[in-house]
Amino acid sequence: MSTRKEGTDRITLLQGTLDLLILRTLVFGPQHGHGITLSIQRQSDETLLVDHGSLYPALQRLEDKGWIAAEWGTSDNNRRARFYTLTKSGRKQLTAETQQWKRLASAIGRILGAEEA
Amino acid sequence: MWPWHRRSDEDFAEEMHEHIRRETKRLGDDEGLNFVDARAKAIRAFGNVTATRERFYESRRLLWFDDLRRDLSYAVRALRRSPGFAVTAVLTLALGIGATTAIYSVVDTILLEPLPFAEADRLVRVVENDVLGLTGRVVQRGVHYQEWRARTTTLTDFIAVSQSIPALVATEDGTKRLWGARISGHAFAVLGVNAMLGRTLQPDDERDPHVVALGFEAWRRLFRSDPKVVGRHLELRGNVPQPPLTVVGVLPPGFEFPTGPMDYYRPFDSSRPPVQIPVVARLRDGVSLSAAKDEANAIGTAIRPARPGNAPPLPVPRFDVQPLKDEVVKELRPALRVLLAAVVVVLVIVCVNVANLLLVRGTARRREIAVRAAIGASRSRIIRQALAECLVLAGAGGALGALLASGGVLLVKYLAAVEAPGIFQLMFGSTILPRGHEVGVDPSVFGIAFGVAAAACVAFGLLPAVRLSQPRLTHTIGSRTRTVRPGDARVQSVLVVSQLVMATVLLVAAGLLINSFVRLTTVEKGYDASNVLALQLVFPGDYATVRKTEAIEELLRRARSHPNVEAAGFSRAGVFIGEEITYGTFVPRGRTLEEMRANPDRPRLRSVTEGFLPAMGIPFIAGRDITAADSGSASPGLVINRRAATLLFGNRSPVGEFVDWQFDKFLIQARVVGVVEELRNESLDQEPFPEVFVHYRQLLDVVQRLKLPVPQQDQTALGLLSFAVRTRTDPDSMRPVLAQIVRSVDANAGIDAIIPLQRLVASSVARQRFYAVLLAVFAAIAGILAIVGVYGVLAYTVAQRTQEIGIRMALGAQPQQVLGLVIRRGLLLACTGIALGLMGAVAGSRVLQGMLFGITPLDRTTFLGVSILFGLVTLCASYLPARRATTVNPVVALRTE
Repeated sequence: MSTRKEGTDRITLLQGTLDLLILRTLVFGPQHGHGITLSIQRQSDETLLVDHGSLYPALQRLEDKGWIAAEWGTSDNNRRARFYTLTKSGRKQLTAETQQWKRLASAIGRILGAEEA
Repeated sequence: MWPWHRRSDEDFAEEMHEHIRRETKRLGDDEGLNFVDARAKAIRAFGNVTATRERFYESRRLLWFDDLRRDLSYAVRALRRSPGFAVTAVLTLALGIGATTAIYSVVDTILLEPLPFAEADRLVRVVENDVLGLTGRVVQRGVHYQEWRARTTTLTDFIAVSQSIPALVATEDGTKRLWGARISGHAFAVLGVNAMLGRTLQPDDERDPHVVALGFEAWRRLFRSDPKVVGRHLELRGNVPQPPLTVVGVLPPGFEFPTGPMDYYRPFDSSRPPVQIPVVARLRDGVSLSAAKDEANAIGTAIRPARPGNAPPLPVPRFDVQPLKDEVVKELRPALRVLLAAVVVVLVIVCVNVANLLLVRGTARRREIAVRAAIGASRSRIIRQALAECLVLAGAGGALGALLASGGVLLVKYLAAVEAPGIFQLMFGSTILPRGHEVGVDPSVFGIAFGVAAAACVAFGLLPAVRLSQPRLTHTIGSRTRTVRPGDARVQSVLVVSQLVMATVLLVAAGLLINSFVRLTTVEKGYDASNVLALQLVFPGDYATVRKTEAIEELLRRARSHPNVEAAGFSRAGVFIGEEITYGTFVPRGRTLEEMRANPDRPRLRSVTEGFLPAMGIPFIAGRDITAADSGSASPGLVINRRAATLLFGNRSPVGEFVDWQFDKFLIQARVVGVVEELRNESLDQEPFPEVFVHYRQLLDVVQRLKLPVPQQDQTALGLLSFAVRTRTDPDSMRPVLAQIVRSVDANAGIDAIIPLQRLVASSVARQRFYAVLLAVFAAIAGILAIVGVYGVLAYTVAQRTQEIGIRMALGAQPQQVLGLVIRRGLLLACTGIALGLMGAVAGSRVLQGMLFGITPLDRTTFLGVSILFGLVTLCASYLPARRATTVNPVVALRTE
């Protein structure tokens, strides 16, 4: 996944984390690509940088895996948009990946914390 | 992703554009940017739209099935641009796959599963070997069934089965001879064979033995495939009247037990159980063949009297247990192994050739590949493209190969069929391949052959792509490929030399077989087979001798009076029916009886009528043909062959000489009236015997004086009732005429066989022809492929060295020098390959030993001929690219730099 640095206050996404974030975002209901981008940025207090372009191949990948489903529809402002929904297996995947991510994060945190001390 | 819910590129693009439109609007609304700035920022935030689209496109492509089609169609177009390469590669693959599959399918069926019975691997034959009196030939005897069965611990499922016995039946077409056997009632249950109609024999039948199970062919011929045949009667006509047999069933087509087809099987009579009889049995579980052999020796020695002290030594164990399948495949095995080796070699050559072709093509396309890599084709993309090409080649080769394989199997079956009616089937068999009718293309064999060829194709097709798609090689574009990479050339040379080696070995083997076959068919037969019709007759069993002789003579009289008949004669056993008889001893003047008797090469007797020798076209060296007047008189006339003349009279002229024909109780003073050429009577590869031709009436007279039983008298003097008719027209067209004459002479007489002699001669060498043709086909394929290999490598070298050659010529090199440059390389390859191949052939040709006639496996002419011919052809193959090298225009070659 392509990531790009643009200013020091923003963190580039680690490999695989974008998938997790997309799934997480979709827990709150169907959303289109643009909405997902904004939602990730807002929820992370603009800390995370999502390269807009890299979102769509990621969405496609998740769709291929069957974790999300997509359908063209009409959005609030009467524009056409492709809406993504979390599927059952996507929900399972989210739970599994979230736990894995937390374990990984805490492990890394312990290592880094120990070093600081 | 599957095609039916696949997302289009356009759909994806639309989603992205929608995103940018939204972001533009959002930036305008939230940050107050004007449209142009907002749009620019939105696009910047999105990143490279095209790259993303491409990534989408690529991600779709990672799902292989989806886009394989596109790769394949590109591959087809790419291959169309170089049709020479594509056609060569596909044909090569098809030949390899087809030939391997066809031969392997045939051999697999015959060698590996020769007998279609339950647990056939464990079936064995129990025999006692003995040496046949004069000839020294080993014959096999049956064993004492009951006693043996009681004693054995290694064998089970004893089946007694008699030799095939001729029996006569009356049909609408006159008398016919059937071949049948008596067999244990439980045999069919043990073999696991069910009847096609009705039932097979069962153990109870031995108590009520007047039943018969028909073979498929006999049911077809005699009962015209009557579906209600069960319950009908079969009346075998022997010398003594027999009660009719009730048909209980028909056996499935192709049922042959123990070997060869049988017209019928009938049970043994429990009131007269067999004494010494051929036995088939099954090894008990866990018992080895050698254990059974050891036991056989113990049992045999215990129950059979020892051989007399003066008996000739046996070259084989006296009591033996042999796998039954050996009997079926014994003669075939060495030849089929040679064929198998040949196809494996061809398959290897095919793989090598395809590898070579692909390497050459890969190297020739290195610029193209490098350019594609440079303008952004990913490595996986290039490799996949190469893979697609390989798959197209392999697929086309495989499809064509499957066609060739089924054609090949048909061809093999066609070649294996032997035209052998009636009694001749006993001599030649009806086919060279037992169970040939069951042979078809074996899908798993095809799968393996295709797999091997496709694997070679993919491996060598990918190699250049993998190597050349590495980024550091992109300088290839700038440098032009003006020098040959030594590694490539070396690999190709090694491949080509190995092809030449294998092809040479095969060519020598095929050369030996062809040479041997030509010698066999052009050997001096001693007779002229063209325009001769061979006729075998059958008389009812209850005919008195005189009725038979009258019919024989009437038949000859009517045949001779036909305007298209040049000569006609009778013989007790015609050509190819090997029956050697000797009665009495011929003692010329000045020699003693003991002296002549001691000679193991005693003259054989042949019982003939006048006209037989001329009808067969046997040249007379001196004297005249035998006549009816040469029998019964005080001094009957004899015709002897050249070998007998030398044996009896040395250098003296035999015609007019008297010879004493001595028997234990009487003596006949005979006179030699003619000398004929010696003839190869039994088979073309058998040396002629010394022979004495005697009028059949004379021989009849002798056997009557010897007081032989009447059937044996007939058997000796009249035998198998063979006629030879020399026609003035095509003998085939005279068949109905002869058949009509037979019917008019005696409606009860049956025609066992009527066939032009030339076709019998062909049938007699069918086996040798079969091997020679098949091996020749493989050798030709191997040779052609090897030559294609040589040509390919040299053409490639020339193409790669065009600039170098241009420079040489610009510096004053003469065309001959350039020609020599290329040809020398070709010659080096050819000489190395052929020389190594000849060495291989010397080492390996011994396996052909038993298949050769008149030459040794190291036949110099063949070796020399093959190396010269093959050498010349490879030289021609290297001349073409060499010619092209001389036409290089130095100016053009250097300008394209």
